[in-house]
Amino acid sequence: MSPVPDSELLVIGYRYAFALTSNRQDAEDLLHDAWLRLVSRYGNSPDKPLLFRTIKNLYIDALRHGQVVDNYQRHQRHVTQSENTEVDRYINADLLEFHLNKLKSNEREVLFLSVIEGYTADEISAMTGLVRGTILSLLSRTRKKLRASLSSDAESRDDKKIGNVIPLKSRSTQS
Amino acid sequence: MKDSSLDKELIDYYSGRRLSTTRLAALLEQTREIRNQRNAAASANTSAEADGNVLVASDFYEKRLDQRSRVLSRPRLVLPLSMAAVFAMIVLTWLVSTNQHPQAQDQQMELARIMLREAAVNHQTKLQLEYEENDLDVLRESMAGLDFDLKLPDQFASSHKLIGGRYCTIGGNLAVHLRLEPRTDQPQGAETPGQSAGPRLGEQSVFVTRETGELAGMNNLNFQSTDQVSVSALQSDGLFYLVAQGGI
Repeated sequence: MSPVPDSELLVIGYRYAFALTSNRQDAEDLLHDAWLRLVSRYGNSPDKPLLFRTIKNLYIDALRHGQVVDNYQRHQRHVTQSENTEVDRYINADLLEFHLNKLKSNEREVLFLSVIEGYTADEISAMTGLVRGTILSLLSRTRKKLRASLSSDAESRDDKKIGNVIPLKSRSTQS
Repeated sequence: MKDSSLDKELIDYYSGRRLSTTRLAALLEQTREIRNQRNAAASANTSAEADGNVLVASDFYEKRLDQRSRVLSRPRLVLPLSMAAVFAMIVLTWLVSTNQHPQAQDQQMELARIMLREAAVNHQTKLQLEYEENDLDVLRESMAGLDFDLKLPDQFASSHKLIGGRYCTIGGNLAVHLRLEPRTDQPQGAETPGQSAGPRLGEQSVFVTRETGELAGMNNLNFQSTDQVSVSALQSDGLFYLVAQGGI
């Protein structure tokens, strides 16, 4: 198996970090710290599981020290504090990202590892330390949750679209 | 349960998440620097380790040499010790032999001195002869108790005449005391075998015994007693002779 080039490994690591943090800057910082630690320690490029584990550990440390805010909490705050910015969110933010941000970091992580990286439940179990059954149930729940979130969002958008559009009948009635 | 559309959306989403080029470049540059530093440190460590290895190796070899020298020191000690032991044995043997030899010599000299003195005394006392016989052959037949064949050197026969003989002992050995007198036709001053340069006075006593081991080497001994008896020793044909003459 040919070794993964550093640039490619960095991108993969960044995506994993992004899956954890759902924040571009936090993900880059996490990756940066993790990468330099590994390179300083081992010299050679780390393999993917080691890079992921290091990113995850740094992420947990950052969470404990308050350097990174869990995006789920951030999302909750965002939802409660800025209801009136929803229009902007719809306009500027990626829809999927928005709903991914509503997930917990472990849910995004498992989803990322399974869907994007293609790891099996056993491999994810080995990487995260969670038992295989937990991985499978977490993965299933996360899919449902994301699907439900996306569906409800789509429905609400449809409602809002309908709500925003004044029917001709009513328009003529109103006028 | 797989949701292909959702998965596709997720894959598309994450595919679009790319590390910023500035961050990527910075990371790659820092990675290069770190690796260069590590390589430099590794090469330095390698040389240091090599030095350390040399030291370790030298220590190791020193230890080995120590052990080896310790091992070798045994033969190195054993060899000199064995040589010293051999030398000591030789010295001891020499000392014993030299100590024994003088002792033996002393004993022999003491025995010779006793015998010579005894001969001088016997000669001086002029004890009664048991057999008065001028013919040596007859005397030999008469003195059948001797364990040797009584003979006299030819020079005695030519210069002296046999008077007789008696049994005696010399140095604990059975012997015969022969008394001889000079022949009247023999000129005065002529020396006889075993006779020293002393004056030739009358009779001579010849003590004859069988030559034993302890008497070996007592040839040509001379003794001069206080009463002017001179005794000399000689050996011939397996017999030991003491010739005493003179006296006051």
